[in-house]
Amino acid sequence: MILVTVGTHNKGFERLVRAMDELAAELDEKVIIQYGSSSYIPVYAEHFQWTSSQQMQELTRQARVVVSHAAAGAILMALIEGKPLVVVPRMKEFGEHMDNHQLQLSVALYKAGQAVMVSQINKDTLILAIQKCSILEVKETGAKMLVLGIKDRLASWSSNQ
Amino acid sequence: MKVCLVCSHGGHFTETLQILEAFAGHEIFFATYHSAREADVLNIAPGSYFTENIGMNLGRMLKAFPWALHILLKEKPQVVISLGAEVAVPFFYCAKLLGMKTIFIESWCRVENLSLTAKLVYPIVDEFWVQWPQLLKVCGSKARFKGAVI
Repeated sequence: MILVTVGTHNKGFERLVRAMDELAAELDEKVIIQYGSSSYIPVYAEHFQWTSSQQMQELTRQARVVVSHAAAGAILMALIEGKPLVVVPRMKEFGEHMDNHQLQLSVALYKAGQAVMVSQINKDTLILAIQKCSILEVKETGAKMLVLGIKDRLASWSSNQ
Repeated sequence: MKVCLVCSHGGHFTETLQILEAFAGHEIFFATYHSAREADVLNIAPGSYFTENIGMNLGRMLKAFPWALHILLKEKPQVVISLGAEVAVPFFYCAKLLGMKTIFIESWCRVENLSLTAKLVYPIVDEFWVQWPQLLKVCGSKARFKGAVI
């Protein structure tokens, strides 16, 4: 199952929702699209507008691949569950977000080998990305370094009291 | 120690969950926004506080200052930590006033530019950390890269 998510953002992401819906018509594999604020409502893929974070987590666990807008929360959910990830940045030019920081995050993840990125959104680029990310080695990194940094700081303040 | 974790809902809360193990052996409570995940917050820290999403609303931001001050005076945490967003601002300024230690960790979604929250709290926090090394280029000398939530 391919899970597509555009998050709870108050702007739509029609470019991704529409392209994934068109792709769903051609695939044997099940596609589930969370379409959020998008004005285009899927026709071929199973779809819903919003759901609880528990339900999103459960769907993420069931998914073979996640195709997500490039928001931190959505990406974290996929990486925490160790799922191959395609990130698609919302772009200011298309009225999808107020700036292009999602593009920066997408590029950084691509360079770190943690996700495949799609910026030109169409059925072809999406299916290619889905195939590519399935063979990426998903690195289990976790927050160990940051957690240690915090523990150290707290310990040093505690000993200074 | 008692630690106050300040965060907005959504992705910032998800990021904060990733560092919770750092607080084993310490007491924590959240100051965060009302959201569908309130029960999750209370399961982790029953004594947590909730308010309306401040967003870019100046009126709500100003009202958040007495709210933050009241919580910090009542709870007296030794440390205030936040991964954003804007709700961190009143807490860090009040914490500074009350002599509490502060750690600001820029959100993982910020790779090349700092958020407005980061710029507002940079002058007063004890620790200013970023989650991408390339972000250090655009920060002052206080900034450190200490790892990321993933």
